[in-house]
Amino acid sequence: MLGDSALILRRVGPPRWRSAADFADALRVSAPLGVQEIVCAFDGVAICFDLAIVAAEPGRLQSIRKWADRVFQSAPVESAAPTRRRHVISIIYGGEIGCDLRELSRTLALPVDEIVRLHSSAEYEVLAVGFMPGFAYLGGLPTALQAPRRETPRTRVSAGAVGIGGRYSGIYPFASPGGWNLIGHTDVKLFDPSAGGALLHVGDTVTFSKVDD
Amino acid sequence: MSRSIQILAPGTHSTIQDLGRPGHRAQGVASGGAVDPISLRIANLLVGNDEHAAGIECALVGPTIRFMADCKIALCGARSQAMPPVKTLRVRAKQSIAIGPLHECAFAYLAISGGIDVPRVLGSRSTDTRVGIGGFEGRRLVRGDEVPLGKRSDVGPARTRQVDLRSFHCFEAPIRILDGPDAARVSPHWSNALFHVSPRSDRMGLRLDRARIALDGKTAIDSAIIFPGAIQLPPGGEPIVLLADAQTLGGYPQIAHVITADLPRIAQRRPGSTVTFERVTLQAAHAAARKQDRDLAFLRYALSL
Repeated sequence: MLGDSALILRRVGPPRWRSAADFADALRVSAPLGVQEIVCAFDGVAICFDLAIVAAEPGRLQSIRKWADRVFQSAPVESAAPTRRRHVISIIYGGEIGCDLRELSRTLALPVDEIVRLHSSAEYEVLAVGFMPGFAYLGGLPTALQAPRRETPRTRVSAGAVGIGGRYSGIYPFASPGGWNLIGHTDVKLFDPSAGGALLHVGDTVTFSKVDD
Repeated sequence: MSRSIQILAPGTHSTIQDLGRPGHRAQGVASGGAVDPISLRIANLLVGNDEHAAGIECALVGPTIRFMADCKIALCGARSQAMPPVKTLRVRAKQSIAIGPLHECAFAYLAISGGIDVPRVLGSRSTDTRVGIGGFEGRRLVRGDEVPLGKRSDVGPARTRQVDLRSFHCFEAPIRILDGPDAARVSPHWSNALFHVSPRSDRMGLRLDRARIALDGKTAIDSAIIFPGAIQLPPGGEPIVLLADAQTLGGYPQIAHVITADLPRIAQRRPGSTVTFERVTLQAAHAAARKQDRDLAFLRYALSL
């Protein structure tokens, strides 16, 4: 349990499920009464309850646990694998917003061109969305580009800034404080409440397409 | 003329809040809404609104408001010299009220008949100032704002009411908690310490200080799914209780969770006040949620008579 109104399931990806996102989708399509929302991040899935329903019925929590276990045990059928969205995001490397590119080149001992080539040729998978609405943690960052976050976070990072933080790449949907190493920016709108919210969802794939300034 | 209110003075941090926007956490959107939803719901009931209607959440010092139409209003949560607590008041068009400094609690909720009528964003009128969505232009209220009201929903006779809220806000009782996923990394006796509410608290988190908790192992962990009520332990050992606007992923160990029924109570503690904790079972947490629902149902019924 996570508090009194959520169930947390960890390490629910391979080998049984291709990813935690696939398991989360399988839960979403069969959620019983009392389940308010299913959140997936990295290798964990949280099942959030409507506490007014779950607390009121003595057997409800137990039946939700059993349902989650049943869905987990049901091996996913290959043909039923959900179709994931693929995004190609135009990126301008460097510039005023991608101001950490040169410093990162020194830290990683890689030429700037090579950082750009590696970053724009990798395929990423959205492993989590959080920190702020629409901020996607992109897994699949080449090992050579992995770099710790800045020791002192910036008080303001521009909206659209593309960064590297540890094992992940990510894009800031809004101007905010942030500690990732900034390598470029995009004009793509990552969060638009009038268009349903976030552009990137857990399980989606992302590639970057280099645009010249 | 359309119904509205004018903000003559904004107060410390006045925002439009309803019961929040659950259901978008997978996109990184906080549920938001009133940090003390019980007080907002009761204020709404007192003026004949739906409990989900949007009102004004006032922090520490409330705003000065001019009403541009005849309205029923009620203030719940913190007390103000300007208004009787938890009581329906009638105000006339052009009348203004200065809510002023708040007492006893950190937040007061002003409900106005018809509710605040700003556009819904992802299903809610709540202001998320960190993201800049919802409420009035996505921000806290400032002087000169003219905020639209909804159609009056109270067609009944003109009656004013006062209710007793002691069953919802008993501030002396310890805050009940459940162990969190990282509870084994701290001494179970941490919850016996006396904590104080830090002035650095906000709608994202209630920060506790003047007692530190020692942690085994790393202070930063991989980001994990997190909810309001979680007690996170950042480096430094002073815990943070996550509130309505908290991020949906957290990178610090989660040592405990405040039970849902007690979240409004701890959110209402003023900076400098003390907090004690008491560990309970999941069954007790659910029983407390049921009791709160029953008490609210009783109040709803009493107000409908």
